[in-house]
Amino acid sequence: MKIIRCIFRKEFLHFFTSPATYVILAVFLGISGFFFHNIASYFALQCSQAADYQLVYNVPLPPMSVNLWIIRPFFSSLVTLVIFLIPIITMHNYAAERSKGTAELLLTSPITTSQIVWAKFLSSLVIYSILVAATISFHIITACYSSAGIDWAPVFTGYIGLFMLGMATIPIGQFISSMTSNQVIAAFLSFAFLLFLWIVDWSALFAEGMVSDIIGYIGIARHFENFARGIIDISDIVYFISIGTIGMFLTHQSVESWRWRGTT
Amino acid sequence: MKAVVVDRLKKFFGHFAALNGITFSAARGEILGLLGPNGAGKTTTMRILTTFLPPSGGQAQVAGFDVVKQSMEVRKRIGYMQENPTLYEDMRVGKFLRFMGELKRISSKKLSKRLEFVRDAAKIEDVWEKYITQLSKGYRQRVSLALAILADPPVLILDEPTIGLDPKQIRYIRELIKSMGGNHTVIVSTHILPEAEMLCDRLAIINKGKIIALGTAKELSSKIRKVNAVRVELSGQPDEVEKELLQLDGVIGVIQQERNEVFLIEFETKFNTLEQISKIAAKRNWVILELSPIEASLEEVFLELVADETTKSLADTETIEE
Repeated sequence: MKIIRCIFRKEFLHFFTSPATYVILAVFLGISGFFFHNIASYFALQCSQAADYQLVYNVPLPPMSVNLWIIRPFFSSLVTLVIFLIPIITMHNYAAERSKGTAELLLTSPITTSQIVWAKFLSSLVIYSILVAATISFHIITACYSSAGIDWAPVFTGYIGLFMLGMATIPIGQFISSMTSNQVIAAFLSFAFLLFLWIVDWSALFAEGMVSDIIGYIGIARHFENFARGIIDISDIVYFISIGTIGMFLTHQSVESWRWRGTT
Repeated sequence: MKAVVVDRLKKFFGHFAALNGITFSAARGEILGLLGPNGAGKTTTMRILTTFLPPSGGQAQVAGFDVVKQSMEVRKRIGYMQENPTLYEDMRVGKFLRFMGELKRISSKKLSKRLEFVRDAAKIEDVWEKYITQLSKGYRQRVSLALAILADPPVLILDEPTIGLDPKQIRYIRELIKSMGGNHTVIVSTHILPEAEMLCDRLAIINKGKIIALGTAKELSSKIRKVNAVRVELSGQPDEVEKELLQLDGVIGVIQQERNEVFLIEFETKFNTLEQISKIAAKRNWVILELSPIEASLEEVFLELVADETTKSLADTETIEE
């Protein structure tokens, strides 16, 4: 545990002492802010149109739920951003160790491959969680300006979903990073794979029976949507943990293979 | 018990044999030099000993532990200095060494003392708070050496430890390594021959993945010499001396040096020529003022052995081609 803590601290500090981190944070918050602004503006427009409709036709106002119109779409937008964010966080994890030759320092130290893999996973997960947690500010703004307030339960489950999403996808990004010494290739391949997981269930519409079910189950979107709706389904949790476990196992095997395959 | 045992070690990269069955050992407290031209297999041998690379064949043990089956135990007992140190560039020197000390499982109490020791021993106090990326090559070498000795391991593996250092630093680092012999087993690779001669108790000359000679510098010197040479200074008529000496058994040549009374005598090793010189000098009433054997320098030994091996390889290739 001490070794994991030690590598975790080094990785964590490395990320937050790098100027690039603050650029990533600013861009991430800037784009998510842009999404939030657009979603909130659209909601305001809908409210205004509904009010006009009521005045002209004297019909009751349709229910305008903040959770339905702002929070849920905002979570969907965040997931799109996360697909870009995860490769940026994980690309250097192993690729940099290989390209800079520091893998030799790690592999000749009395530490196990599991300790390296767990420490790097946990540090990336914490970094990711901090970046994602920064978007809670948008929900606070929504709560402040919404006369009816917001239902915090789906917000809470939505963040649990984002955390689970990170837990599942970070090991994928790290596995790809461990396969190459080029950080750009690592980021690009991770992004491509995560995008595939995001859109794969679209093709479930064109399949039938069990194939459709399997394709639908593989896709990340369906599993995340439940969390955004305030539903915690054990099958979704099992899905995210399974993907993460497979990613961790593959990363472990890949780093272990450095010893016999070489790191360059 | 031997601290390092390498037995018929092989390493292939694809079809290329980087190591072709090398065998050597190092006793506890011994400084063993791995000497060889570039690409001879020195770094590959060291990387196998540090468990960074697995061997393709043969066995290697460090401190009694197998480098493949008990690699964790081996890693606990080695200090490794890379040829081109790869360090975490974005860390400060002190923080980096503390981090590596924690990875080496040094207890917090002991680590502070060890950090102080290596800071003084490697003379890196000036750059302790600097980022590694700002360091010169010399300082990076010293940080890497500090890292190797940080955990006070019984076996030190140092790959070209003085490369890139200025003469003052080289002298200091050599003295530091020398001082570690006795308490630590040191495997040091170099292609600087005077350094190898000065530092090492024994030398293993590697060429093309094979050990071509192993022993002390003196043993290696005598091994390659089929002809010995002595420098003799004696009083006598130069022409007469030359003529008489040439008649002795085993004498191949007598070369008169710049001063008339100094001769360089080459003779076959199997004859006891020195005794014969003494006898004839006594008989002719020559006074021997000086008689000193001329030994082959390590450079000569190295060049001769490596050249022999290259000639053999070429001959083998030609035979195969025929």
